[in-house]
Amino acid sequence: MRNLAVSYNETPVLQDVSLRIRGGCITALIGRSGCGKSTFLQCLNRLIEENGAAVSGSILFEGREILSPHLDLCALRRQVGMVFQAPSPFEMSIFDNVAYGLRLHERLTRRELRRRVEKELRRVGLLEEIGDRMSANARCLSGGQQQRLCIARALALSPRVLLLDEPTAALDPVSTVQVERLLRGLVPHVTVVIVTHNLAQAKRIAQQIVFFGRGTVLQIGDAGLLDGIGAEAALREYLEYA
Amino acid sequence: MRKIREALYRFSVITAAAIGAATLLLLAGWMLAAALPALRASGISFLMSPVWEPTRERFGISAMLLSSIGTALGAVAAASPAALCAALIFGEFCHPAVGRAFFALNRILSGLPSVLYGLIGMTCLVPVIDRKLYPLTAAAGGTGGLAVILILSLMVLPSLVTGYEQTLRAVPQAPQRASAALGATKAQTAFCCILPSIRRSVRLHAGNALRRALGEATAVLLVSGNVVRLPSLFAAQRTLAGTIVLEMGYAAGKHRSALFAIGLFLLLSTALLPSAQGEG
Amino acid sequence: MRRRKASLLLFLCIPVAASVLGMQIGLLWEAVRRAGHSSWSAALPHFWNQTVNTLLLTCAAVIISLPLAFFCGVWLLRTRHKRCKRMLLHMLSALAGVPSAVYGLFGYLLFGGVCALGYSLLTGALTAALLLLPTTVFLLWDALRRLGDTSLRSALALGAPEGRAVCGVLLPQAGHAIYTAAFLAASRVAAESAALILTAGIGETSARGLRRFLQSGATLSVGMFQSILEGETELAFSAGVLLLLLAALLDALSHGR
Repeated sequence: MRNLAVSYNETPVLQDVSLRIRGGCITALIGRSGCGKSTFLQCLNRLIEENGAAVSGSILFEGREILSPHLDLCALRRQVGMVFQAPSPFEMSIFDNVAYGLRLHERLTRRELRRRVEKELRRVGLLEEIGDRMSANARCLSGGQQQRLCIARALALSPRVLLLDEPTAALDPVSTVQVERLLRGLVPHVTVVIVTHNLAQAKRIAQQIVFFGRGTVLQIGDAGLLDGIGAEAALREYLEYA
Repeated sequence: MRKIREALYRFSVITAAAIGAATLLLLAGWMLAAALPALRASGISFLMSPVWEPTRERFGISAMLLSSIGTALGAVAAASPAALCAALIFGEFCHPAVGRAFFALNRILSGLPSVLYGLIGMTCLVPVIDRKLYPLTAAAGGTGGLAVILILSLMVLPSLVTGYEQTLRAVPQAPQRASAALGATKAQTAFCCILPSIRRSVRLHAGNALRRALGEATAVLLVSGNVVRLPSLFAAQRTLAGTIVLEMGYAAGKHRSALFAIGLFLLLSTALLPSAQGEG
Repeated sequence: MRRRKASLLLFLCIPVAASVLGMQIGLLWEAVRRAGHSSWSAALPHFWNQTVNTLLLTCAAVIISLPLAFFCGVWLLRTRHKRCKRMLLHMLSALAGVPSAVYGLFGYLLFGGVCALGYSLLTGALTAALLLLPTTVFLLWDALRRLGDTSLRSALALGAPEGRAVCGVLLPQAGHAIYTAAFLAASRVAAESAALILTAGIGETSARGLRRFLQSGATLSVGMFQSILEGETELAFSAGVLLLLLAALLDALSHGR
């Protein structure tokens, strides 16, 4: 993207953001709270406008401009999936949760639908755990299971890009490891962009690191950055807290 | 297909919002239009004069206005603290089952028609007032301001209790625990920590009750004596809302217009009171 | 505040609370005591007619106003025009406090006059729906705001168009709130008298089936008022007890979920 700028009610949140996200690998967005990481993430599937923010600049996805007003948002969001910080399963059965996206965008027979749902659940490791309870309400799952369900729900549409906003912040260490393993398995088919506060996590899974600060991108690099190699002043300061 | 569904959805949403807005505008506008003839004829004396004689086309609502305001204020002033005490005691300081029963009772009572309260007032309260306070009530036989205030307070009590119950339940636990950790008794926590934090809510609920009391017609008609004169505790009187219901059946021409003017006035005054709901 | 002062205050609250309870129980007791037994057989057909009118009118009013309130709440939730939203909120807030007698006047003018429905159950139902609108909107909007945010966003992030996301995901989640709001609304309509006197009128309906809606008829509360004016207080109390049972039933049902 080029010169992306976002503001809420005249207050600029992001300014002059220009960067290129590498396809087929995991990119971690790190930085202090409130510096615009989540805002940036939500620009990528244009969910930011739900909050009433004004966005200017240009974002190119596979050569096409996302920010144009004529774009079909539903088609965009099919290609760019998102998982939020708090697990938010729908008030439906586990099966229906995963099938939601599929029912929206595709016409599948019941058998195909079932096959796809099972495939996604297997991918996130839920099939063994709850495969026999697929018609139970999704809310009865544990936090870690719910979050994996949300990931399965997003992956069901086979998106090209998966955006995750601090997906493991509310999870226990075991679930966190499971989710990380899952994400690592997604590349190189899916481009993953993850916002995280956990620098160790970023080091474990990311190939590209983007450091945000003061409303703009301060530095881009690879995982080595987190060891302090070539880190600029602000980043070094941030790393001291890790 | 999807486009049709989306369009239908958008249409429903916008229409619903439009209806909500249009209702108020239409209501106010129409009442204004219907009320104009009487207002123009009476001028400012509509508000100032206590003389209400439809047959001679003299329309002054000040007596009824004072009656409405006096009784409504009296009712809420009596009922609000009582409801708060009750909600506090039954909510925090007694057996949970008793509390639940009390609040269920109040929920049911708040669904009762106001006519019933008027009826009870008429058959039980008024004779009792008459008997016990005899010399004062000679002229009106027990009807009058006191009866109206008592009935109105009984009427708004259940909804106030229910409202306060919800407010008390919504008070966050953390400050209460902190207060207890500092060594406060339950009573101290209640009066020093909880009550101050619900001041705003209390004001809003009381405002709600006031609006309801101002607008109550049928119950008041049964106990107020229905004579248009300046209000007092033991003399028969009439309120604004009661007049509308009472005279609408046979009003015509300027008289009818005057009734609409009363309606308009009620609309304006209740719209300006604080509400427990508008606060987003 | 000193410990003793607080305890004393509490001590004083107890009789107040007790008297509140006592008065309410006394009210119920008196109402039940005075409900008439003597004229039951003569009164039964009246009660039956009024009960039918009450049920029909209540159901119609709730069915009309619930979807309206839901979509209005959705608009409040999803709109981007902040000023319009604030204006609507103020308007609804003002409407919520308007006395029912005024709604009755308005309903009579609009539905009875302009829509040429005259005095009828339908006029009453439409007026009642308007009466219910502001409070129900606030209830539902509050519920939608509290429940729906992340789920709605998740649905949108999956590429669902807004209508589908709202009706498919938000609506089921708000189901419980809608259910409660419906019963609250129903008990409000059943207890309404002033507005219905001016729109649905008094008297009895005689048609069969849905044709009743076009006739004027008294509901139980209006009938109560009528009985009182005619001096039949026993009948009025009986109707009151019926309404009490109805209110208890509605309250019990509203917790059913």
